[in-house]
Amino acid sequence: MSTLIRTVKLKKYFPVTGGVLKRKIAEVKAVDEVNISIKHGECFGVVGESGCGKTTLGKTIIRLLKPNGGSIFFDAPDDVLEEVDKLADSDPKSERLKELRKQYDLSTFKGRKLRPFRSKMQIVYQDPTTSLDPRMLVKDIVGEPLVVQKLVKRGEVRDRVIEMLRKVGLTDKQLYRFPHEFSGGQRQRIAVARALIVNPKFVILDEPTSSVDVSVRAQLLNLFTALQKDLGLTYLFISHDLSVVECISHRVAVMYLGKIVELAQTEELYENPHHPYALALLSAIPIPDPTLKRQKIMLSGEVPSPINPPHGCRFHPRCPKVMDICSKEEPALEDLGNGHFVACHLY
Amino acid sequence: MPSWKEMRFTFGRIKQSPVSVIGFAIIVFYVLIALLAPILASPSPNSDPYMIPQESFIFMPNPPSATHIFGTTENQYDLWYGCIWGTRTAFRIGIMVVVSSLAIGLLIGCISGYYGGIVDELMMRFTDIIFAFPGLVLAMALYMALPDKITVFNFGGFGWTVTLMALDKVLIALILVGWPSYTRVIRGEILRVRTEDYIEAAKASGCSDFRVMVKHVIPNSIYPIVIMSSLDIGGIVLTAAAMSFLGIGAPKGYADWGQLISLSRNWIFGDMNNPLAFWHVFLIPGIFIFIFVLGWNLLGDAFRDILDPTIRRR
Amino acid sequence: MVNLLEIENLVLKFYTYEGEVEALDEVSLYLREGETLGVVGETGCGKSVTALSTLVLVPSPGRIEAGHIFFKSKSEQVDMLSQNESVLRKIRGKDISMIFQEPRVYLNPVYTVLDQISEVYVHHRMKEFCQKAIVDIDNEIKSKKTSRLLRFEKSMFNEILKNPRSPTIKIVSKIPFLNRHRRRLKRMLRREVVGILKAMEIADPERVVDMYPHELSGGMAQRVVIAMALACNPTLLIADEPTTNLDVTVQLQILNLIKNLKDKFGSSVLYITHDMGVVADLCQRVAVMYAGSVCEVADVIEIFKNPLHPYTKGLLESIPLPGKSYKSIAGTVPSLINPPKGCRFHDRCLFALDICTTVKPKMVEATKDHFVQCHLFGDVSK
Repeated sequence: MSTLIRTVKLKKYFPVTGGVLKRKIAEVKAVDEVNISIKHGECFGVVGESGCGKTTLGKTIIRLLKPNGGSIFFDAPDDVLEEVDKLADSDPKSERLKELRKQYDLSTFKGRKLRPFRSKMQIVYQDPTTSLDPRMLVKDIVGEPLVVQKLVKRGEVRDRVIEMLRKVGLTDKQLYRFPHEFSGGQRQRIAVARALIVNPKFVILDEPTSSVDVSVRAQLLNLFTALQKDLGLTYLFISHDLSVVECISHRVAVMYLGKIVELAQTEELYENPHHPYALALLSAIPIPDPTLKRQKIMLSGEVPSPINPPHGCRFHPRCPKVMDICSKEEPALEDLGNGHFVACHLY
Repeated sequence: MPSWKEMRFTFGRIKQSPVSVIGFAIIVFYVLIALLAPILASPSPNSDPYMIPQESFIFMPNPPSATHIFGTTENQYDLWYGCIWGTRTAFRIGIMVVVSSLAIGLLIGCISGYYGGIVDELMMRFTDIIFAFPGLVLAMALYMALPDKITVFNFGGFGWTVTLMALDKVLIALILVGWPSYTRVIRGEILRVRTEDYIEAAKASGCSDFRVMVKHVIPNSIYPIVIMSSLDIGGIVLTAAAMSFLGIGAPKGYADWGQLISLSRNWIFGDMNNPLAFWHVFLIPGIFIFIFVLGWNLLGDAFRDILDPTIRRR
Repeated sequence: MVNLLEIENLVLKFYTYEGEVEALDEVSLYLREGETLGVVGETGCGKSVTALSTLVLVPSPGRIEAGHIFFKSKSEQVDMLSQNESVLRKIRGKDISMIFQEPRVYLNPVYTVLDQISEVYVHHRMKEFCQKAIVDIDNEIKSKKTSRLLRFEKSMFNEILKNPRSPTIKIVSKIPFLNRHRRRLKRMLRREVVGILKAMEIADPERVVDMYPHELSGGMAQRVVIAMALACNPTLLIADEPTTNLDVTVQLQILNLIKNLKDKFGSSVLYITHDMGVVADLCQRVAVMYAGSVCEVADVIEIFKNPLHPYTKGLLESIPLPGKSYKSIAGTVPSLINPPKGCRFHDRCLFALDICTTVKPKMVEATKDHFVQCHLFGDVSK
């Protein structure tokens, strides 16, 4: 399967202004040199707690935010990617590299050039209450991407909207209603319909089940799986709920303070986690079985602020298996085989 | 249709509070008076209907009588005629000033709030300058400064010159003094709405900045402005009346409530024996102004209670 | 053994513009002393308003129409709904405390942590502090010289003990040199607050004590709120989804904290949540609520092993778990303005009988200590 998204050393920093003249005094390193590659038709899960940068990563990949460094290759053929890798290692300043980047690297695109990509990449937000314009009718909300992208003629917009609503489980009787007249789960479906109506290739699902009830969560997950098969979508599924990610993703990456600490196939990660943070995270999931008494790993302290991440391995102040080297040197992502990567000095 | 459902809900809420019903009724009453002005007080033919007819030129006002229902004021201007046609003038001034200020405020506030940065800073400092002056004083100064004729363009003989009547000058002065407050309010609302998720979602769908502003940001920030405008119409009429009282504004004999009160200046304390001898001269136009402003204020309060999104039953 | 908290047939309605919302429909629950009862349900099932009703803090337009709430305060039964405000105010915060979902919203943003926790102490335990202060002053008089000022302070404390609202106190508190008693009080309060923050497992409480709520992280703020709730050793702690908005590792810390504190302080806990995993970890008994009525109440192991009510079964099956398939419950929660007649779950129930559409089932004891409100287990099915 070919790669749909490849990020190389992707960086997104937010400036912190202070002082009278509002100069930049520090930077929030939200996403710090992240390399991932997502294949066509895959559901790639990203887990982590608040402040780890997963939402920022998603938004930077689809260029709602401008990256401060690194590249994003969208739907580049495999040979191009190989060439880019080779050139980056051997001759980073070559003209050919610049040419290839101009053609395929989303991080160099601006404004007008990004327009056609907007219909290929979409996002479903976490909170359906705030992500739908409260003053617009459902038919306008779902139809707007079509109208803006000028993908179909005016007369056809309504039909496409009805078709999309049916696909997500709503009826055309609900066309002329406002978002506040629906429940949370239904609003999320409207958001999904809006995202999918332009037939994107890549959809970012930013914690889509966090704001809805438990029983609705299952319905939404079923819907996502069905739509992925039906429309051949590729997902980036962001969540802090590990059980939900496990059910729907093929591969999972664990993020902490802007860096990926572990990446593996889903079953592999959940059965055989290596990184101490991943271990702690997995042991902290409350299991609905009162007879199961697990040894829970308690981490000390709280997540530090991403403005001043700790030196060396970012997790070392809280790590139960910390060693001397951890505070000095940052571990790189090592390949443990079978597509399982860990960034930890223990390995 | 859903927008009708929305309107019916809004009217239902209006009906619930007696204060808003009264406000609404007052405004409807004045609208009827303004519309029926030619019938209620027929103008004399061959003259500008806005000039109050004078039967004679006696200096002292006459109390209400059979021929002059409200009596006459100084120089025998008919009060009935003046009050009825003055309603039209009041609506003209109020609505024109508010709509124009709103338009300017929307334009500048939108650009300022949406784009931020240096543009925002410059605009806001400019509005600060205008806020530094007391409104009435600045309006009067602008009135004095505005020329009588403005030449829009002149290409050697072929041109377009606009003549400003006194009332036009008042309108322009009030607009120039009034737009900063609208800009401020609109900018504040846009700053609040700009960071919402659905704006970002619209951008993710590929909407241009213009479309986002017009279709998403403005409809969601419009309610405080609606409230502010309805409260403001009353205020503008009061300011215009104050300016007329001070002698600036409509020419003598124009059907304008402020004018009528200005004409009553000499008669407020009446005779030596009877201080309230000429009560009709200032009280009747005063009541008209008072109830007009009250109506708009009540309506504005009612709008605020109804349209406040936190109280609305969403 | 008398129950600590008994809610009997509570009926609660909200009179909104759109109609009457029948939020609670004859809800009955009981909580034994020393146990943790979990109340589980989805949004809109009425668990939060049940908790608020216990403290008689239901916001208008809500009104409690019928039912009783009995609370055992100091070995006597108190009927909460028929007490007047002053009695209730003594109970709230002292005998029954509540912690909420979003801690930073429930902390006053303009007061420091010290001020907010001190407020609880000042309101409920002033007498203790005064007595302790008097004892301290006596000790100091014995050893120090400036006895006149100390005696004046002592008289102030005595005055507060006698009559907390006396005008003398108010006036003297404002005079700069004479209000020494305030400084002593402040020192004592500070010590107490730092102590309780330490008990909350906050590292570096001296620094946290002077912070404002916006400077605290989610987990820290929740600990501060818990400190406020436990400041006066309440017999009942009501927790309304306190860990829903927190990260998973922080949630683990807070749950552990609640478990430790429960052992240390000996309180009973009424824990409201929608997360079955948390319930399995923390609670001893579980009550499942749906659309304003209690469906099932049982021991925690029993309810996971042997769920009886169709809604409980559906809920447990719909939890996405590693390695397990999940099924969703068809349909959506009904609007409570015109709730369905009979059993409120009947339109989504896979096992619905004819009688379920007309008659509301009664709560029966299906097996030992396992109560269900369903026609499948009532006398009708027999």
